[in-house]
Amino acid sequence: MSWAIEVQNLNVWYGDKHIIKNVSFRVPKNVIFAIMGPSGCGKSTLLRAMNRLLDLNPHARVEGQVKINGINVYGDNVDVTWVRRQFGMVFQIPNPFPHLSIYENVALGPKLNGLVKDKSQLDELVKQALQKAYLWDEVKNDLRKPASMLSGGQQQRLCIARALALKPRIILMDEPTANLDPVASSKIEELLLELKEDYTIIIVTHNPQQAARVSDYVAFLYMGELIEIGETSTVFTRPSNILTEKYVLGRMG
Amino acid sequence: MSLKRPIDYGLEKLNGMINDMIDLAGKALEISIESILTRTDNVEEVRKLSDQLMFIMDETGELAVQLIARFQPVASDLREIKSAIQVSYDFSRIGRYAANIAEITKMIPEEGCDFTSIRELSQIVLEMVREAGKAYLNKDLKKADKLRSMDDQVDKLYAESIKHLIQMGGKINTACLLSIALILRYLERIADHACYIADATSYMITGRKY
Amino acid sequence: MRLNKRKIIDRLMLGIISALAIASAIPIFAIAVNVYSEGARYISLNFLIDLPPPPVGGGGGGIGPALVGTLVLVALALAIGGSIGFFTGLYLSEFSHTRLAQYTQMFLQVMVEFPTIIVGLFAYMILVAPLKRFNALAGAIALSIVIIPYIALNVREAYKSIPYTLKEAAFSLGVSAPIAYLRILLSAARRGVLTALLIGLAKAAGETAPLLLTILGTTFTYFGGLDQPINAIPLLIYNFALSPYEKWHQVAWGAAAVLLTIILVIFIVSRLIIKEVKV
Repeated sequence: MSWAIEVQNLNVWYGDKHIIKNVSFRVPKNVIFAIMGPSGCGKSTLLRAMNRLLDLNPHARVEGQVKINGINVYGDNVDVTWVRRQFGMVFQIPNPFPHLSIYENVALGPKLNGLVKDKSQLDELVKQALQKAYLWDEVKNDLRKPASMLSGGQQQRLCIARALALKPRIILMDEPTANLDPVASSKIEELLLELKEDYTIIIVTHNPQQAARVSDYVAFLYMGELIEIGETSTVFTRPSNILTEKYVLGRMG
Repeated sequence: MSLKRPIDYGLEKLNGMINDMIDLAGKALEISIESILTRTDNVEEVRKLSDQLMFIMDETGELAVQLIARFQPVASDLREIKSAIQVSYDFSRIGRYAANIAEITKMIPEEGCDFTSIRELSQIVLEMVREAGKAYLNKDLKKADKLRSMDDQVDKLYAESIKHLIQMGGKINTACLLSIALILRYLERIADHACYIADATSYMITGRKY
Repeated sequence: MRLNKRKIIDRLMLGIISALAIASAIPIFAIAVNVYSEGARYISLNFLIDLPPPPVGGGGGGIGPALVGTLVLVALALAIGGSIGFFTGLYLSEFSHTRLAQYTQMFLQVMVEFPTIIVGLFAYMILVAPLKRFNALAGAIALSIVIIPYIALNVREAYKSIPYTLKEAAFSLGVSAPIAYLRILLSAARRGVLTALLIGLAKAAGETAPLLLTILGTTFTYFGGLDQPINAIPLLIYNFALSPYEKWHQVAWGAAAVLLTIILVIFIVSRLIIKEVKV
């Protein structure tokens, strides 16, 4: 069985605070894998430990392994920019580059990483990414307009297109619908169900109902510890840990 | 955007299961009737089909519960799930009765019996089972209504046949008498379940049983 | 009765504060009016290009060499001080947790208040004394040192004000740090950085003390080389205003008007840029 990503004995500290406590799990390919838990349990930290975005935080210290295709991203000779290119990331507050146009937002990654040879290839790549994010029809006549003129839901889909443009294997999503209205949120959830055919998606959510709706596998993280992990259907019909049960019932803090 | 909702994937799977049950139930009934009318022992086959139907009924219940747990369904989604639970039970009962019918084959005496009434009734009931399945799958309100009139037919025929049996009384072989009576009863119960399926179909579409 | 008293005191305070605010704004207007009324009449294309007039007699004359000198010095100061200041500011922003950054920031904040005459003295020691003559490079270096703190601290602010989530987005694209900071995030911070450079420009154009001990202030050469003396508008104003010649006083007023105009234009442009950022 080949895994999209394997996390082994991962520990993260912010200074003296032990944030992620010996977490291990494996994510199969082409599934939606949700990480759920109450606020402050370390979900976002866990996500950023995977694509080494955590390196940007000078106070963070990481121990353990995160493997993609058997390669440990924290290995000695590993190029961190290569690691980050294996992932596409979408953030909680939609963050398209405000000073760039819709087109440029999607084109920037491929351009800077030398993924295409000429303008027509780039145009095609941008179009495909926007189509995959189900945004093309809405913006195809406004590609040169600034990204800031889009609505919240559209901006988030633009960020998804930006992530897809680099053709990553895995898409990391940090509470992608937390700041969107319900209609925009469900559009994104439906989009994820289609995307999983081509990508592996790891989504962090503080809303267990969203994890229930959207994911195939779910991990419950509480105070930095992995409490339970399993198929979503099972975890939500008969969770095996009492903490998980409390959480999904809404009886936790 | 023409994307499927998360719950749609689950509802499709649910429908698939009901579809399977429709095929199995129809087949079980068909074979059991044939078994009686041609005095061939197909009990094993029918029992197998009945067991399969019970298994799928459990699966359907489990899937329905998962869908409720995961998707907080409302309105027509919720009614569809409830109807699926109900209908899976009905089809499994039909399978059970078919097996019961098939088991009677062993009771039939050497010289056979006059199964005219059975022949007539079973045709209607078999059609009811098929129509019920189609009504459910196609969400066809008209077909569901038709089933109720067919059930009236069945009730009438059933009453007449029982009366006829009582009249014939001692002139019929006891084994035949019992066989016919039991089979008539089972067929009548199957027709009832087909009606329940029609009711569940109406409920799924309109929210009311009628 | 009490209420009335409170109201009166309230109004009085408001009045005093408003008056003080107006009073503090008055000097700018007063200066501008003064300078333009005395000097605006001398400004013309010739004035900007020509050599200065002889002290007595002779034709109109102009501030050509001084203008060229200012342009050269400002360009050099921006090139040297601007680049050092930019990268320092970038470092201060992105590595603010290091002790080096903390000390450097403190040091730069002190440098902002530093007497610029001392900077000129320093430049004299390291560049004028060894070469045994006043030279343009010394002036440029002195100006660079003066403007570095302003540029660094403003660039730091510009980068610090980029939302962290944008920084994450930039790095998540898998680009190296130099590309992230200089091609993606610089674009996001460009208005702040531009403002920083404009402030540097204004300072370099207007500071006088650093020039006193470094460039001498030639009267008749436009540009003789970096190792030679050179003139600049503020220095010309100083020298001509102190001279006994009425002609040169007039030139000084004209130069002052030119300098004030340059500063005001820079000021207005940077205000417009900042306004856009707020939106």
